[in-house]
Amino acid sequence: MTKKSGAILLFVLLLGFWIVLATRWDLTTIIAGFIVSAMIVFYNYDLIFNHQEATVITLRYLKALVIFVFVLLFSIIKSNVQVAIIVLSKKMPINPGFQTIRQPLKKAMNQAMYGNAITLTPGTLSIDMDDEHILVHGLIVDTVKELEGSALEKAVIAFEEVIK
Amino acid sequence: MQIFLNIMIIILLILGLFFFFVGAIGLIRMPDVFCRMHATTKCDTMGAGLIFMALMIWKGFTFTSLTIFIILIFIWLTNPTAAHYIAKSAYQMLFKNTEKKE
Repeated sequence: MTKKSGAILLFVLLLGFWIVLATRWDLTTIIAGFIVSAMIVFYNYDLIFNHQEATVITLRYLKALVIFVFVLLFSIIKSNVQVAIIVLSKKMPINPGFQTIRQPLKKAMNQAMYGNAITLTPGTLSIDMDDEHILVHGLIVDTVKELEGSALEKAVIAFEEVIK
Repeated sequence: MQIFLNIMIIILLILGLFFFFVGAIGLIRMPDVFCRMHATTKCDTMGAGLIFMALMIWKGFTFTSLTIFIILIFIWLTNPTAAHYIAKSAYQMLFKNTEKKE
């Protein structure tokens, strides 16, 4: 994806976002949105796209994305029930601590997504990461290692492999 | 049909309130910063998600629902990021303090 087509895509997305938020179809609203979106794209043209991060959206990419989202939603529900049980139990069976796990991803965007996903999975909270390790805090420290080789990690790795 | 939808909305709202309640209790009961972040981020994400889902069902297929959906996505993007940042700064403070003591 070149920088120009990326800028056009961003412009279309911004305009669509504006129209959805405005919930009206007047000429004035749309012209105002047009001007604002064009100005945003124009002034941020240097910052918008990084060639190493840019990807082509294909069917396989979308499939991996959908699988990732479903795995993530499932783990959000699981994590919430687990934390609710821990909080409401009388003794609070927690054993908090820090643990480093391996970093399976290369691209900064995917690393950020994986970090957010770790925060949403059962009893884990990502604190710091570099290209090789992620520092994770766990409510029960022994369960943190189970993230390596879990369904979530597999979904994220599949996500990265498609992009190559 | 309307009754069925209403029952579903009420169930979703009650579940969402339950998770917010759990988050608030967790914030008070947990022993340190990191454990508190666990309780608040997870339960708030789920609670907001369920309540917004109830609102979306109530509104049906309209622009308002779409707006609510966008708000939901932004909450789910920003909530873990904020938690990550708080946890990181707390970790750095902890690390510095122990270093000084040694």
